[in-house]
Amino acid sequence: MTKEEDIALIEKCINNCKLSQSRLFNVFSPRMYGICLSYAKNRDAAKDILQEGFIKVFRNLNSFVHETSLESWIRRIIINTAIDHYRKSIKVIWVRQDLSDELEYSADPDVLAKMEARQILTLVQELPEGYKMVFNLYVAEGFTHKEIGYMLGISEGTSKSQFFHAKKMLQDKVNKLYREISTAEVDREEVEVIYG
Amino acid sequence: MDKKFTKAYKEKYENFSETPPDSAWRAVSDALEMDRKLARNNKLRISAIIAALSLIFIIAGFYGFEILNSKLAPKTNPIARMNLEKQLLLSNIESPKNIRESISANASSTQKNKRHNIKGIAGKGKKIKMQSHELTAHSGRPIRNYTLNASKKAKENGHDSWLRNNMPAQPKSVNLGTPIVASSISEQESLEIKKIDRSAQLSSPKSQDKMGLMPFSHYTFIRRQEFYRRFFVGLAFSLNNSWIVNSNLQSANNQNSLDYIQPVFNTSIGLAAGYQMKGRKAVISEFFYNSAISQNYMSYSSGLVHKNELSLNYTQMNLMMAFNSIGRNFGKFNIHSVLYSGFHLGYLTSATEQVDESAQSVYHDYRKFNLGVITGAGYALTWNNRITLMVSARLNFGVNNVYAGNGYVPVEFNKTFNEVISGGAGLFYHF
Repeated sequence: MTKEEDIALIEKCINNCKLSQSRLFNVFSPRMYGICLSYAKNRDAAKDILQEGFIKVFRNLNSFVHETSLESWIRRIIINTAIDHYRKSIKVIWVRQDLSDELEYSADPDVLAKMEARQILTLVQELPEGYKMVFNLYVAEGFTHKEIGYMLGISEGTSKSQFFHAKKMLQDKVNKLYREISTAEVDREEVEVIYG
Repeated sequence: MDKKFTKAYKEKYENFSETPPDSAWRAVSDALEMDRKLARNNKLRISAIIAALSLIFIIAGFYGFEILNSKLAPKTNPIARMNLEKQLLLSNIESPKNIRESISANASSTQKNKRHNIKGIAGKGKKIKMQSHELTAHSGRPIRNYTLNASKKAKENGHDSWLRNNMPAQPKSVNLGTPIVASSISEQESLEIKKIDRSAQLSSPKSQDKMGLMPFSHYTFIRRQEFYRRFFVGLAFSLNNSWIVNSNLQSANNQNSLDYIQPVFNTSIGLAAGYQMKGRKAVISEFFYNSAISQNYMSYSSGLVHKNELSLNYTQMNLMMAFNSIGRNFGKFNIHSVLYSGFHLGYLTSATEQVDESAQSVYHDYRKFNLGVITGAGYALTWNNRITLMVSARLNFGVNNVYAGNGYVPVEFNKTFNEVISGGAGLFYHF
């Protein structure tokens, strides 16, 4: 959508035009739902975040400043909503761990490129809440550990530690999943050779 | 290797999108519809508050006027002063009594004529202005005095001479009629004297002054029941239909969860006591040990709809000023209307929130004190100046936010005000 189209759509939404509100939702919700899925523990929770986020979007559209793009503004609201949800559901105790005990991990970065995005997101969803939150905010949104610490109410060091463990756990999961897929493909090829 | 991994993840993440289920838009649409309803309700609420405040303002203004009047009346109106000092010597008060006030020229319409004539004489641009003042003579009788304000130039040119020559005569004495003993006024009654200006209604040439004006004042005597038993105590019963209004849902965490808000009826019984002041004013105090305020609403959480009921129980004290209208007697019964306004102060004794079948205390989520304003109106039926039954409708508007906040929903996200519409009855014994 062009900026002019954005402005026209926003004005109609502010004036409570239901059709325009529906259109805005349809345009931006698929991408935002993808973001919600990466932050939520399941699809129901992702839907809750999406709903709540979009309600905030509609209620605060009149405060939108056109200096930024509408999509990035909505995205920020969705992420903030996800952080709010995380705060409400938080049950873990943050423990600062010394990074000197980092373990060497063996992961093939090319493996990630070969996988479907949906498969990766499923693996991210399986991460513990704190790991998932820090990992997404750092890698996908580009926040610094200091900013993440401020947003989540933890120290910068704890954020770094959580990120390290999240990354390691995710890479292990990626490698494991890739091995399973590869094994299944080899087996299928062998079957095709035998019965082919 | 590390950066390559995160870069690969970010690329996948940025390009990932998935159409959400249809129910997501329905929920958003429903919440927006609820916003529209709440906005309409807020407009109604604001209108109701404005109406209530207007009523309070009018009542307060009336009291102010009454107090002011009672202070001024003895000085400016000899009849009123006599009444207050119980020196009124009148009879035949069953019918209104007309008393001529032989004062010349006091109607505002006459001012226009004078000013018009003055302008004609003084000429264009010459400022001559006449003013009329009501003053108090040494005898305590009201008289009317006239002053002339003319510009220096107008005086020099003698343009004010016509006016000086045509000034009304100095006021004559007030004719109160023949004094007779008011033997028919009982101890339980008083007289109110109402002054009505009835200018330009006399046709007799004798009453006309030099400028052809025919003013006089008309005094009407109103017989009224006096509550000579000052103190009263009794029981107060209230049927509340209460709302607990979340007025700041714009940024609330639960902004999409409050739905189908329904007020809840509660009953409470308390003690009341009061003091009937002279005239028609009274002070009433009420004490309710348990005054409950409740609200039903549906909440939405994790894909499930829950039925909630929030109940706040207060020990409440009301302090009100009441104004009794002119009553009518039916044998030993007297009926009159009552307007009242005042304040209420409640102390929170318990707070519970029931979600579906389970209830929990939310006492620490709410502030201990609830302060608000009260306004109401009703009728009172008094038997033999001894027992009064009063029925009234009342509005209570909470003025302070009663929500204290908790770890999940901060106070600024859920500002809450108690609002109650109630019907009440009171049974009082006078002594």
